[in-house]
Amino acid sequence: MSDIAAADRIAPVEAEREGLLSWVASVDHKQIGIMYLLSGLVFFGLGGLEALIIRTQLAIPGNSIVTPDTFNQLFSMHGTTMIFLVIMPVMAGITTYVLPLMIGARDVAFPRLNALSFWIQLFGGILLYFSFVAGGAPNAGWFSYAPLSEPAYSFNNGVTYWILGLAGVGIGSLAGAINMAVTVLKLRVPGMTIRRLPLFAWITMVNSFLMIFALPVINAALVLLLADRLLNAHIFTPAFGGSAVLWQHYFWGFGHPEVYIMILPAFAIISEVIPVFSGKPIYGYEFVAASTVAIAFMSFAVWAHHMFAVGLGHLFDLFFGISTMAIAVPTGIKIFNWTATLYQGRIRFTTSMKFAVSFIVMFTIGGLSGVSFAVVPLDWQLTDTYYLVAHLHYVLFGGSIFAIFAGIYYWFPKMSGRMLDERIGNWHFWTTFIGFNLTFLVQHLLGMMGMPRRVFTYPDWPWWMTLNMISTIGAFTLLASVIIFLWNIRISLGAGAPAGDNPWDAWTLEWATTSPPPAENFALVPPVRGRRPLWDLAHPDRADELVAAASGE
Amino acid sequence: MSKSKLAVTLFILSEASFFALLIIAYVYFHAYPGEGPTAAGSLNVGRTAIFSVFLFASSATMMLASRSYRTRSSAMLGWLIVTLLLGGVFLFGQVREYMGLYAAGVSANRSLFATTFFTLTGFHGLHVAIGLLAIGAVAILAGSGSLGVSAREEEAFGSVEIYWHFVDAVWVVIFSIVYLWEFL
Amino acid sequence: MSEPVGNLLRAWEFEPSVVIGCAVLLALYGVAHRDDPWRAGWFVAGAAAIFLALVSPLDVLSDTYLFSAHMAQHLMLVLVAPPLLIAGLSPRMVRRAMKIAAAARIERVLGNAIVAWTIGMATLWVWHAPSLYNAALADEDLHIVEHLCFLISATIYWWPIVSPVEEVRMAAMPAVMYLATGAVANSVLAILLTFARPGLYPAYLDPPDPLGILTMVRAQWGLTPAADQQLGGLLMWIPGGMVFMGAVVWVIARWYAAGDREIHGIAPAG
Repeated sequence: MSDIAAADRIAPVEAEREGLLSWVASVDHKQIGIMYLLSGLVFFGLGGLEALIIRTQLAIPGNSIVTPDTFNQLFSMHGTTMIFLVIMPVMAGITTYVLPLMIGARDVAFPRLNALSFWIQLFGGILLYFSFVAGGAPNAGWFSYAPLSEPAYSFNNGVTYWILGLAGVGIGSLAGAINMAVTVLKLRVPGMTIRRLPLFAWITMVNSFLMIFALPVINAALVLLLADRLLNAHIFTPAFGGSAVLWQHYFWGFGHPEVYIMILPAFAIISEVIPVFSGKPIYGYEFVAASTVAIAFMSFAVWAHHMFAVGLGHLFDLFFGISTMAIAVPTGIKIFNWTATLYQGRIRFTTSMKFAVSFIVMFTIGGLSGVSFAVVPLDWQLTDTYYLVAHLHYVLFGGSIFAIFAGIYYWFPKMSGRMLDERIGNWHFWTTFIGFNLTFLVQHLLGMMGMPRRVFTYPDWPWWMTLNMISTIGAFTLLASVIIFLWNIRISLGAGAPAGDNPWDAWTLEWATTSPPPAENFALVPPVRGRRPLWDLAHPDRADELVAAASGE
Repeated sequence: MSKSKLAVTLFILSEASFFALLIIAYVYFHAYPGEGPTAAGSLNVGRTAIFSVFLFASSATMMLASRSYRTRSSAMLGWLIVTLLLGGVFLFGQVREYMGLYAAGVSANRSLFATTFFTLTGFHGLHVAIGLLAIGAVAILAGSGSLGVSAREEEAFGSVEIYWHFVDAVWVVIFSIVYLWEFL
Repeated sequence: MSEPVGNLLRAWEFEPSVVIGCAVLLALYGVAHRDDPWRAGWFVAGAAAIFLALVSPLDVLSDTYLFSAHMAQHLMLVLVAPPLLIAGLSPRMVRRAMKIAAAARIERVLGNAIVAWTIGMATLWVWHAPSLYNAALADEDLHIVEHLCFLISATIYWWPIVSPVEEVRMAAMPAVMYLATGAVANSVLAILLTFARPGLYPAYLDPPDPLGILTMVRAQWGLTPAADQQLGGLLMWIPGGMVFMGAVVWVIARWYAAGDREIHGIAPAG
């Protein structure tokens, strides 16, 4: 009640919608969400450009398009950009836009904190990219292993920029996580009990807790590395008694939960899109919900699988190998849930659905290569080869990015009031799908043939050039796909079909308001008596709870 | 639990995680020290213990301030100010300690103990300072008559209190591990 | 069967305090539950866990040979036995017991989430301090105190989670946080033990060999002092952590099964 009363005291915001400058001052979650998406898009372009240069350099052996040091900066920035400035902010953007609408709230719990999250994250990214013109970008990989990241091996301030940029992003993400958790727990419309939460909201909440516990780990590591770099300390330099392995423990103690932080929102999106375009509720809601919690918990118990090649001891490797295999179980459960949802559904293959279905396949491939890494001797052979590059791109691109595309095609109508063109969307999907698989499928083979990652060139060994060339062609196909995507957005914003409130015949509350929603989100929130409020409203005789009661649940 | 208190609790959980990692680094290099000054040779447990008492006392006075606030007693502002003073004394003691260490040549990069010590206690001191700012803000609002008794304001007060107790609890752990463990 | 293995399997030590203690526990249970025997299986399982941990060859391995064995023993006392014992209590009996004013007062204090958590975790940490741990290895009476501390503090820790009486149980969300933070505290200690310099507990470096199994342990089982200490830490960390995680999943499953009731303290606005 107090929040509703408070809303009355807030000055009306309709007038604020005008002008570019009003966006800078905005604390409206919808505008902040869109700003996240736009900045994410810009950084996607930058990260993609870095990738294209990398792939051009690697297309033929003995190439010299870039110097080795530039190459190091390119792959370090590519990874850092895609993870911290694309996937995380875009997921944050989709979440901050959709979540309050989905739970029938007027905004997030702390709108000003929401704005702060966005701007700090953006400035962190700008600071990171400033390094290019301030002596050189970070060149020690996206994970800045010690002692390569230490002053003794650094010839510019790149890694320091990396630290500070990441600090900005980290603070923004943490604030966002706290904001979203409180929003889900406190701002649900009455009637939306926790058990009636859309899976998107539930997974977002679990993901928030994951961020709350995982981000501080990298913050602590960054602080200590900063001490080494700026104060001449020796926490991570073995020559002076420090421990380089400690950096790895700290980094991956964050890094592994981080990959789940990046994939859980993808699961959230897919868990909304697949049921809607299958015309059936998700199969096994409780299993998806519980397995999400299991994944979050277990993600803290597997990090040393990134360190099997460090020599921590067989006992150690054994325990972490087992826990890594175990964490595949809750993820696999979800794959079954989504597939079972598709089974006997009335499938509508919209562009969003195409990305969602291919997500299931791509992510499973990535997951399988990941599980293969849990077998420690295999890991010893394949770690830090292109097999690993293939794995991580299958889960992060074939997984997270595909899910992001699914989500954008799904919610773009709500955000803009216009439908994205389905024909152009089809072209976008297929060029992405083909380009992605061309680029990364062959990298499994390259890795098994022994090509290490992070090398700026390679010898002219049999098949290496062919496979690298195929991969580069795939990368440029992806460039085409991105151009098509941008074209789709450009045309649809101008002349796309009007969307209406609920173009997809979907069930969650965000579809119960106009597209785009008014400043206060809802004129009136529909009653919530089940997990699919709009379905219950449209089919009172076949409402979910009635069906459940009839079947004796 | 209100949204303010929930947010502060979640923030505290993340900060607990952060401090846990800094503590691990401290403990690790306690077990595997390199060269240079160590805890045993550098720290004065007794003096820090005395200053610690001031911090612990400030938690008690914060609770008294909170009770005064809830019972609408006029003693609230007084207790808030006492809390600020007690916390300030603790910080003063920490600054003195740092100055003493630097004068003795124990700067942050002199040894692994020094780096982890200054990082751990330094970030704690930063959290104390931020807490004092927050309490100060509450005190100023109270003093200028702007602090009402609505549910929202009570929750805000309670959130500041939770944060302050957390800062205190962290010091219990840090003091035990850095000072007591060494000398008991 | 080789001689060392035979010696090991025969090395049951029916320590009087343990035998009497378990018997008393079961007797008290039987008296209190003579009208209510349905959950006896759980309680007996819990008592059996204590009995086996302290009486079977695991005990002599723990006291004399292996830190990892001692860890396994403690894990049974802390993570296995107490939840089973609590689960075996009948709700009716507990409610009747809580009608006694003193009992209710104690429950209110010890059952408070922060109190229970602190007691549970602090006991865990304090007893692993080398000075205390080594002293307990040397002094049998102190060792009994140590085990009692573990049993009692762990029972206090698990009470708000597993208690058969719903009114004293924590709501689902706070319970998950309680367990998650407990897992963290458990894991941090375990991490420190896993990575500590070998010889934290010197009694295990070169133990006496009453059963003649030391060669087998060192050579065939591969448990050098360093590996042994690491294994102990790992056991506390991974399987130990899994128990907390299993408890989290169980709490959530129980919550879902309870139907559409709102969780305490986290009601939506309005």
